[in-house]
Amino acid sequence: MAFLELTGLVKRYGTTAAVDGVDLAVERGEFLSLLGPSGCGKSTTLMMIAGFVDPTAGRIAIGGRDVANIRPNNRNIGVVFQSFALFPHMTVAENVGFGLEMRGVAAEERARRIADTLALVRLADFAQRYPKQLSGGQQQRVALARALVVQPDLLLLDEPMSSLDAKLREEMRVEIRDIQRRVAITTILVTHDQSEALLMADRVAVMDRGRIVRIGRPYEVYEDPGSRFVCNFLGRTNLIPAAVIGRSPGRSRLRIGAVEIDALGDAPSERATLSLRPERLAFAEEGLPGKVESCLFMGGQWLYRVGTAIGELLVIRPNEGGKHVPEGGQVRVSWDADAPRVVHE
Amino acid sequence: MTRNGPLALAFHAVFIAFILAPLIVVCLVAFTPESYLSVPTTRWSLRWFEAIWGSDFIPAFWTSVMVACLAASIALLISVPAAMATARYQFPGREALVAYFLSPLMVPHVVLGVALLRFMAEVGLTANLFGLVMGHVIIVLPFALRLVLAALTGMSRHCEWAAWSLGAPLHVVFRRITLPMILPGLAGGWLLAFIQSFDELTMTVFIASPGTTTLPVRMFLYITDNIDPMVASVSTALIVLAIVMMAVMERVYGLERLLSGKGAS
Repeated sequence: MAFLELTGLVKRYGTTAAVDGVDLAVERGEFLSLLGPSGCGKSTTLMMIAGFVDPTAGRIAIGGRDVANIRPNNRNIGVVFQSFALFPHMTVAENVGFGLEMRGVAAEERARRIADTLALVRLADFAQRYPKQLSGGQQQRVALARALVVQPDLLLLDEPMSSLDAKLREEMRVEIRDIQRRVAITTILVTHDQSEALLMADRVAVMDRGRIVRIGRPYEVYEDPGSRFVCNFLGRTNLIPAAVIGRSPGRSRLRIGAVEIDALGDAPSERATLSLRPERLAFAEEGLPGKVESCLFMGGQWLYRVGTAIGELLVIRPNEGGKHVPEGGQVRVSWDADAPRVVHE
Repeated sequence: MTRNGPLALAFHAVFIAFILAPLIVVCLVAFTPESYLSVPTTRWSLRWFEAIWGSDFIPAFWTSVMVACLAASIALLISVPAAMATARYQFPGREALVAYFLSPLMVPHVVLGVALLRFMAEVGLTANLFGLVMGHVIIVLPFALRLVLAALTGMSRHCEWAAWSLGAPLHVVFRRITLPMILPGLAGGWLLAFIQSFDELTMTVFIASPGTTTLPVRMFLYITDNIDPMVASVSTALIVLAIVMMAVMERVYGLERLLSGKGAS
């Protein structure tokens, strides 16, 4: 039995369902990310796990125990909010010590654990500051320390990085991931940022309109998104409508105009959509002929738009010392056999 | 920063003069020695300030302070739970309840005065400090409530949630997190309520008795009988008191922050 189990979880506001039947099992020590666009129900799901929002229907079990009648103060869950929600009238040490104080931890023990946890988030010298005297990244580490110091059974992160600037966000992703590994705490991260979810989580659950539409390891979900929604949401892709002309188990033969392509996945009907990830495409001696319509330099990569018989394709190639195909150049686009995927609508 | 043109400067000057002129005249009159109103004058005296001591303006002042303190404090005690309920929860009739709490703003004080006079005579509360304070609570409640509401709705729910999930039961969350965070709003609400009560004349005239005469009522009764600078000197003393209090609060806290009801930042 998994450590955290959600069964048929529903939250309705009036007639609209914010969360519409979520089933989820998270193992102890696992880092799971709930990923989806705003309004998909991911935050509401998290708030129900924390206990701030009561479910309309369904069951939440933590460590095998139904928590329906357990209030947030007795759930032993650490929560980090997007706004950090630090207590403005308390110092960093008081903020971090609040949960210990509520648990009746003696003053000496409390001071030791506050110091240890502040050291863990590299804020040992800031204990006596007030939150407004700290930068965004420091505030976020205080929020993390405050949630971790009580040794919760479960850590919930609600868009914890979205109020930080881009550079800091990248650093904090790695830092939070490292801390999570070190203390081995079961963690659920809610985010709308696909790269954050892919980078940090052991498993990613993509949500759309109150339901989990795809769940799996980051690279599995990325490589085999299944539906058009997940495919579009996770990274960039070329989506091409195609006719289905042949089927074998796990594979489909598709035709786009005069071009025939073998793709992974079962096509549900006579029509299907083909997904070709731009970074899986390459220029080679053999392949689909095309003409480079534009070529953009992105630092680490070149981004090409190539006109071909199956439509315009985005192609991303790594930057290998400035060599690139100029605009107007004739190329042949090739790909590995496992690159083309059939996706559902 | 854009600078004001000459026309705008002239407008501001006239506007400020318009506000200050009556106050300045009152202050000037207060320093005249004659027993009638004589402005302009060339002779100055503190005679009318000396006359305040020992007059019944002093007990009236203390009555006013006491009534205002009590009314503001009681209004605040009612406002906090009322604001918590209406700001934090959605329930049928919520809008109506807020409108009801704020309705004393809409009722003319004369009407309230007549109604309260009749009501208090009926239940035997006339000539009673308690009745007077209750009347003031009705009038100042909207002011206190508005500021407490503003402070609560301006405060992030997440801080309370964070404390809750850190193990604090709801009453501890309220005492340790909510209350300190809305404290500026509470202080501002109390102050506004105090000022409203201290100022109130129209309703109080009806329900005040000789034993519970507030300062505005005392002054109003005085000028209906006398024409001398006594009231001017009392007014001047009040103006000075107000300026001193504003200066102190500005130094300690920042008036704008206090009166806008913004929470701790």
